[in-house]
Amino acid sequence: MREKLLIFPYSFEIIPLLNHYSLLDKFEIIGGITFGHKDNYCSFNKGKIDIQKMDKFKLLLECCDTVLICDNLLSIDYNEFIFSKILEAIKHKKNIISVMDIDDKRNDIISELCKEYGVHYQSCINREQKSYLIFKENLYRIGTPVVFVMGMGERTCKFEIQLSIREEIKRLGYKVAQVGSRKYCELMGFHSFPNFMFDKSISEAEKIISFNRFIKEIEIEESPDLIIIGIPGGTMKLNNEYTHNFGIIAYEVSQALTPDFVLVSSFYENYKPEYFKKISTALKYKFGYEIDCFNLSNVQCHWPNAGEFTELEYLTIDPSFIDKKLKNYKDLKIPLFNIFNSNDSKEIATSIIDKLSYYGEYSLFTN
Amino acid sequence: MYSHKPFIHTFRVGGKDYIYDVNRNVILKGQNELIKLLVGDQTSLDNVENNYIVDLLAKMKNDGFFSSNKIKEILHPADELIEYYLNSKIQKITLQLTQNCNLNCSYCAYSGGYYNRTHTKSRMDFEIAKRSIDFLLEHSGDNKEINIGFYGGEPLLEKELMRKCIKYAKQNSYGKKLSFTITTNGTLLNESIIQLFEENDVYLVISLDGPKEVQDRNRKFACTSDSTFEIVMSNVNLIKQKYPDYYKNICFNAVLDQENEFCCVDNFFKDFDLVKEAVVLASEINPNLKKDLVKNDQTFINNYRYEIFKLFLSKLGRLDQSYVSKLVRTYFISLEKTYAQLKVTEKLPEKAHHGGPCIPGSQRLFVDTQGTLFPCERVSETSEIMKIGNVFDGFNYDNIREILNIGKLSEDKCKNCWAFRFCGSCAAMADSVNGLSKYEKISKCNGTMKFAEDRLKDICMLKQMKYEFNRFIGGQNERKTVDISL
Repeated sequence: MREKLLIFPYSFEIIPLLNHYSLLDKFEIIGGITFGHKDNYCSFNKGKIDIQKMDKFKLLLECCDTVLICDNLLSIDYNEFIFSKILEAIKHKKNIISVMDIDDKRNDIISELCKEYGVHYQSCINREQKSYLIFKENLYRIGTPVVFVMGMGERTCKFEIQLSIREEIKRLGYKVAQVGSRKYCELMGFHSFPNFMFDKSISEAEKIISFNRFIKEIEIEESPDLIIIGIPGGTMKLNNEYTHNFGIIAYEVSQALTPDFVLVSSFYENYKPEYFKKISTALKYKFGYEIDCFNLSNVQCHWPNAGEFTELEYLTIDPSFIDKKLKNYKDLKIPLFNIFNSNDSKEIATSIIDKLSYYGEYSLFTN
Repeated sequence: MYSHKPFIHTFRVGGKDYIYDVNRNVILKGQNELIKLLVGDQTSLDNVENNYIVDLLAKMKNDGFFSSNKIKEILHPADELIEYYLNSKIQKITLQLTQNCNLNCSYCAYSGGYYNRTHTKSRMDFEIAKRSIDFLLEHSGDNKEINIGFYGGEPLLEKELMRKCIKYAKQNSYGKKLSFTITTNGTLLNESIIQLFEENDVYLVISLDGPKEVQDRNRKFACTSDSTFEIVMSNVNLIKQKYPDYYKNICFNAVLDQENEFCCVDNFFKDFDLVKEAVVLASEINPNLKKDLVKNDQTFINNYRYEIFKLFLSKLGRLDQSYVSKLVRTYFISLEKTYAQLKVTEKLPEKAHHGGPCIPGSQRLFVDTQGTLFPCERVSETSEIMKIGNVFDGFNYDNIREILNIGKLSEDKCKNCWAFRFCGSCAAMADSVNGLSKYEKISKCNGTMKFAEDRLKDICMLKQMKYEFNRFIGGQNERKTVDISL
């Protein structure tokens, strides 16, 4: 009999995991609790999950065995809205799995309480502090084809793209090694983005060298046909108000490795076709490689509220709207996709394999 | 050879010439000869003797300046996504708890002085209030913060309803930062309601026009001749004495009637003990749909402008801010906003809409006592076009698109208007009660263009004086922004 799982809180952020997490097959998802409108995100999940509002939390809690605590962007009052509900779930003798980055102090409280009530607690957040001894600042050559999945900013559906590509390429029979842009990728069977890349005590040059070695290690240990790397954050500042860490991580990863295929996901705007050409040129001169394809995400920056002192807000659009808009870009030299369209995710995977196969043939003559 | 006139606007301030380039959206320091050439008939450059100017012009034209390019179609950029905005991005809902009021202020939209509204006994049922709050929660999935406003008539006539609304909203707004705002005449405040406001961090906006003689002239009780000033001040005193922390968060909204002396109102807000420390926001009497013309008094205007002059001196470090009238400080915010708008663009897009219209319903959705939805509390409730739906059946997108694309009413004029980007006209200014009117809309154009030019001139003058806009560098003195119903 499968364990009954409750998703809490259900939000945009958790959709990629639900869409692609094969381990969820071990569970029967009985529903999700959302902070927002119950129908807002339903259209994005491929399964049929019963999404309820907070007033049904207790009701659904009674029906589940395990609560999956999810990462979300709305956790503004952690104590009131998330932590208290975790404690409530434990007291109702429910197991806890967390993909939310919970601080050490609360982690300890949760662990202790779980022991007291005889339930399991599994935090899926990667906390490994890997480090490399660097004697010489050389970069190793990565012989395995590398795919970069990048975004023009946060919230550009990068994780959905990474998981879709992984699924499709594995389906085609290839062995995939992967480093994902989130902190709980081990749950999905691959590597989270290494913590040293966010460590302020390490120099930028050391990060570049370390990342190169991290990937070389994966290449040696896993002997994959392909390495997919999801790069967190954006590629450049959006403007002077929203600088998004200036795309520093993307730059560092691009110094550490040379990709063989690059997908860039963009926010939605009613762009002219030239936009993609210009972005492609800008990234070429910033990072040193060509863009192979773009994804047009179903998230738009909410410019009416943008300003000098405000956090950037977003507007969620139905993926079917993106499908319609893509018709305006069919003559683009660099193809543009909608990851929520299953044909497109297959086509991205095929494009990757086609390009890399071509490289394979080419290398026969050069090596 | 020029075949088309450049799309520019020239103006002079502080003895210097400036060119606003509409396509590039920048202000250029002009040179007499260049301006003459640009605004002249431009049939030939052969007669121009100054080679430097000719070369400069050619170079700048090559860089996209002085283009004659115009917008091809008036269409708001939010038009294609309006359903999504209203599905998940409603930020604020204002509940009209009642249409009744205990005052009968001469300039109030509900007191018979306007064609569109009057006070009635209509009040909001709690079921409608709950449905309205649910409507906000259901349509704000993409927001981290939401706000519920209480409006009237006089909302404090419905204290219990408001109390129930606050409780209901807090119980149901999980995961969002919830805030409340109330706009009140302040006469019905009492200790229990102040306590409720303090406990729930309700942003309190009290309508107060000035000293006793000014306040009592326009703001009168409907049934007695008692002084509203004395009652409001006694209530403010109660807040100050018993809730000193909460007192720091209240704000006064003054309607400036030019029948009064500017200095008298100004001195009151500067010196009177109970108000001198508080934030004061000033607004003018709303002229839209008013039966009588709003009086313009030159002395009042001159005094107002003198205060703006002092405001500029204070910004330039030549005068302490304490000498500047609180009533004009918001003008500088409009200048900063205009300055922030001056971001270089390649050229005007093919499809665009002039500044002014908000996304109807997304920014400050207003619900009347019966649950009918309006873009905001400032529009006419009797105009059919302003009814954009109701809390039970949802939105009427035909009306919403018409309001959003109000510029289509005056498409040809707008396409050729240099102040296109700085326009402040929205549907409320084009409403003739019988529908949206081109005549009503374009009757405001001269004032809008003058206001835009004044702001550009002020920016240039301040820049000439080396004022640095946007010089916030992340210190502790974070600027507080205020969102209230004016």
